[in-house]
Amino acid sequence: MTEKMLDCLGEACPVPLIRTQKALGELAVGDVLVVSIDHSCAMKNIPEWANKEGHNFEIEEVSEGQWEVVIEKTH
Amino acid sequence: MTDITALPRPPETSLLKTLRQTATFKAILVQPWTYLTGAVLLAVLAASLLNATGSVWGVTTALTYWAAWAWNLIGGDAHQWAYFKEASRAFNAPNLWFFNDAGTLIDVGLVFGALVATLLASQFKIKHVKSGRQVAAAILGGLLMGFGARLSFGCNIGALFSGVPSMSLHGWVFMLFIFLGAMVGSKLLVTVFIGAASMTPVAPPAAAPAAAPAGSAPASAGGGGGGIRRIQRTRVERKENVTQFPIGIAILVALAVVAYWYVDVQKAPRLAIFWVIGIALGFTLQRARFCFTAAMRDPCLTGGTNLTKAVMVALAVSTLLVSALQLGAYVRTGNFDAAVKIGLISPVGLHTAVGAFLFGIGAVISGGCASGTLMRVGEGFVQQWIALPFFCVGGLIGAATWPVWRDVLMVDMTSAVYLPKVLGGFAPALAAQLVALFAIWLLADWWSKRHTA
Repeated sequence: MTEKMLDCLGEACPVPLIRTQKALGELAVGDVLVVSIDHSCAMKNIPEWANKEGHNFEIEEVSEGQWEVVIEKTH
Repeated sequence: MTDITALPRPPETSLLKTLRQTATFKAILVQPWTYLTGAVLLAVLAASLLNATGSVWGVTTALTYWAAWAWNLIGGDAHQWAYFKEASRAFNAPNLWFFNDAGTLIDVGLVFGALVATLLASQFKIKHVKSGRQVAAAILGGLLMGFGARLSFGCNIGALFSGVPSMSLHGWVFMLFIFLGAMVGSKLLVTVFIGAASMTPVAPPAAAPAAAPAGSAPASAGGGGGGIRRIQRTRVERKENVTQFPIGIAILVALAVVAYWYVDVQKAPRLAIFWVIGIALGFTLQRARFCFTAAMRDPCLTGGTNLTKAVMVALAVSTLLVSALQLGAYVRTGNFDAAVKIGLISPVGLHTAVGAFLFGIGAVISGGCASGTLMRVGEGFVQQWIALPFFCVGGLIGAATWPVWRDVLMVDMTSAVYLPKVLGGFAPALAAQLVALFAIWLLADWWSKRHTA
């Protein structure tokens, strides 16, 4: 299992989600991707996408208006 | 970096911290509302505005006025422009100015509503841009949106969200072409404006426990349902800031004082209504993350259609509410022609298509449509702080060069089409419109499922 960080701070929708989709595609099953975001819509649409695709995910608010969406690739 | 779940936590002493932990507080003020909640609230707020003031919700007209007032301040005379004599005559109303313009009060209220929503959630942060490409996208997108909205007599709000429920053909033409523009904008975004990014490996902390204790509650603020167990990963400590909520309350009080000033000092309760509903709209847009741009862009770009479906719900609820207002007026007055004037029916033609197409491109590359740009200005997005002035300038360019486009695009100011007039009456048109909205909803639902890997 590896853990990778994807820095999307300062990027506007839909860029963080596009990067997440691409990055997760490059990982192996069981790997964890930590997406760092400060776009308030991305903290909703990235988890929604992960949920739809059936990956495990968590949202952590690391400071005001800044989140880490943690996605564990399940398939 | 240490695993904070393994360390003893200090007792929660502050009242605010305790309050923040309650489920109701979190559900209303911290976690995003569902898109459906946003859709219904936006429809109700827009209908309340129409009912109370006789005016529909619009965004871009006021932005053009701001630029035109600025133009007049530096020595120009926008009052003489053909655009303000032919298409947007309200600009030449006597003594109209920033503080008594209804559209301005809605727009400024919207910015403050979004700001307060963000502060009450303790999620305000100034979000800097990452690259020069984003600055270029914001400038170009702002100009395209401002200019496009002048050609089409409105934006995603004035033309789409107010036009469709009024059963005006221009709303439907706008919807089709903003969608096509968003497709082109998406292509531009991923090929020109996105830039490169790469993942970096996270080094595991030397002395931290390998995994969080089983069963410990995630420190998640958003609380998605997908994580079955706590994901094993490196964790960072969250710094709690307790100042944002009180600032949000203070600003809310100040906004209420302004409303009181309009009612009691200015004796202009109508303006206070625009102000208060503007704030409520901004609050709702931010809390629900309601983004018209995403509704048009995501089906092609990311395969997501949740917002597309939510916009269809918002339009359907709005249609029912506006129809109810029209019916009510008809029952009260017995005058059908006057009753159906409730709403917004604008000229439709080539200009609607071209304007909506340009607007769609601009909204996608700049990262927000008209309402989205204002909402994000309030939320602290530097990208939208850049886009907004260029949005205003784009509108000014559109207004200044209006005679050219009027002739090239053959704008007919009498070309407004009220759907019940061409679809055989009020009831058939209402039914056809609701069926069409539901059909798009079904299509979006199917698209999203088909797109899931």
